Amino acid sequence: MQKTCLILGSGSDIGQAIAYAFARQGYGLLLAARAPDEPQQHLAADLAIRHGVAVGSLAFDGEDYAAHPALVQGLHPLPDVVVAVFGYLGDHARATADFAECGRILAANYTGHVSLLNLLAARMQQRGHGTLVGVSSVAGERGRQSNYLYGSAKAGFTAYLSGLRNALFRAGVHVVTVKPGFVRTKMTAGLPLPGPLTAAPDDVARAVWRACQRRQNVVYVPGIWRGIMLAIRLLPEFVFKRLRL
Amino acid sequence: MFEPRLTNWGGYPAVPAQVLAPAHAEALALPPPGTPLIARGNGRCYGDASLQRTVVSTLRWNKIFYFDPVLGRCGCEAGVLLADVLAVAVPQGWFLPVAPGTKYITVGGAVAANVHGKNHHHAGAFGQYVDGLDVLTEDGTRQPCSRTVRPDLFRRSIGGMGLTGIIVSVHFRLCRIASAYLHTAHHPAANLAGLLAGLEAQRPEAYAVAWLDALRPGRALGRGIVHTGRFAPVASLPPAGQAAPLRPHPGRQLSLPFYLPRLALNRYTMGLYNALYYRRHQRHSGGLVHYDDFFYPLDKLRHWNRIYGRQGFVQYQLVLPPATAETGLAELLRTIHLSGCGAYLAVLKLLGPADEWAAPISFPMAGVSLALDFHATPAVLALLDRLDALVLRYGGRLYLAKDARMSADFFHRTYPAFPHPAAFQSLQSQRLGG
Repeated sequence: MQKTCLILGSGSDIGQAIAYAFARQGYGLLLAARAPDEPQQHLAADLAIRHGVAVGSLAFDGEDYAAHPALVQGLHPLPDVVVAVFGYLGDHARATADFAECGRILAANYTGHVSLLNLLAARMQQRGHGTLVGVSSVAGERGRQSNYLYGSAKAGFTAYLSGLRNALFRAGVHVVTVKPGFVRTKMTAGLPLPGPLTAAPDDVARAVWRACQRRQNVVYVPGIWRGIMLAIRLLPEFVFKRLRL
Repeated sequence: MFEPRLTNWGGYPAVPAQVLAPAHAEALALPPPGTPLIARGNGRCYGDASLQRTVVSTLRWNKIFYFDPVLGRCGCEAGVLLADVLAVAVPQGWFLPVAPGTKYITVGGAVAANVHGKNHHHAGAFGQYVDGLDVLTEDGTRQPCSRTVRPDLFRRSIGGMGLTGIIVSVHFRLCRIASAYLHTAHHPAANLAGLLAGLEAQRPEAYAVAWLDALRPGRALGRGIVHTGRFAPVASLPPAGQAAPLRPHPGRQLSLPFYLPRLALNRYTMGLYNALYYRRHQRHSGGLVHYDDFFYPLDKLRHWNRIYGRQGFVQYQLVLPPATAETGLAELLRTIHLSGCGAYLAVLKLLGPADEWAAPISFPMAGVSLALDFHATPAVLALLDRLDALVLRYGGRLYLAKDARMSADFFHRTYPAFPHPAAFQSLQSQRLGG
């Protein structure tokens, strides 16, 4: 039977790239995005036309917690792989003064994931196999003055995924944490992003596929970020607090 | 702000540009009125036809949203590459009705330039196979158009060089093939008259094109090879081919990783190459060839344009009407030879009548087309001005998708006026006077 992959956040560049990575491997896809608009319909059609796989679409809102149980119970069959890749960068300066913006950042990057993955994890645990992938960020490794709201949400998400991996290990369900550094989208084309530190959405997608295959736990994309973040975590706080990062 | 320089396939000109790359057409925030815009696909036109201070890239609009394997119809967003269409269509027995010299152009670009292939004398240009378009016009709305709905917008957008608006999606037809292979033949000719006669004699073949050695003077002026091809029925394939007759092109390419120094390509190295090419095809009579080798030999080498060096090159493609073709082409080749500027790649094609559904600035018209590559140097630019005078005298015109330098005066003497909204202007349309 065709394996299936649910992408929570198929409207993002990275979500889209991950959908193609799984379609290339013959996975059927379930695309979940905020709205089943024309770009989502075209994405679904294109995946099916190019790769000959079954593709379904559904609408979801990461912040609409009340709707999550029905959404997860409605998945038949339960997908083999779930990739949670939705998120919201937000406006940090505004969010420090406006809790509505701040709440959106926290919900879209942390509590929304917790709400959905709690439900999905329970069903996978019951079934006894499956893979859950959370796309977190290197921004969650240490709070920096320029984006610590987003960073703290991602830190929460990273800690959650770590605990979930521990909790589901004995049930045979694998959890992958993906931590991209800079990601180049076509929107940033031409901007002077530091080349060796920057990944393309396809690089992230390949890393996700590989991590699922090899049952890796925590992957950085590009890999060089593992070393960079280690160094950043090791900086003593009395030094770190003086930096402008 | 950091502004990268943008350039198309010829590498000339290179201009500072801001590239907007919206995820989809609705996400495009149109800049304030008075900021001219032009759409840009994969940047495979040669000159400045898709350059502007503000450019809208369609490359993220890369979804095929329907493909009907029974009727051979396809609907896709404008930034889908012909290579992507082929990857889907060929295994199901369909091919592009018009195949230009590279598969790495977008479908939107193919419509905007109304591209032609080696079969224009039978099949016309790409626009003839387009059933419908969505065009984002200056008021920011998406206008569906076809032969029956807003026919004027539809006609003017085919070969309209993006000046009517931004093509968002395209509905088009494909043609049936039994296999992905062609039976090909080579017919050498010792001079221009022989080459033109050879091309004419091969007119019944589905696909015909002639390569010529533009570096040969005197009696051998215009010597070359006529290449022909037609798609092969499955029964004519060898057993290995019969097992998988509809194999699409390979996804991988070799890449030229750096620019060659300008000196690498000169009259002597190219003269040697041309002599070897001629001799090889004189001896080989042709054979069974995959479509990727027949239609897209240059696609094998990614960034082949770097052969011309960092300063770039210009392509000069003209068409002359049948009555003046032979005299006119001979004089053009003699003039090039006397100038001492080497023309490296020279290709002749037969063109059929101008397409019925196309903008007045669409290139194809009945006659013979010649395309030539030159280094972009001051001497070459001066030569091209002299060639323009000959093209004008012999009743021809130039292909806008290749052009980077013709004058407004020459343009207006060879094409009718093409009024278009001020919102959509390329550097080329501004150079050519609106």
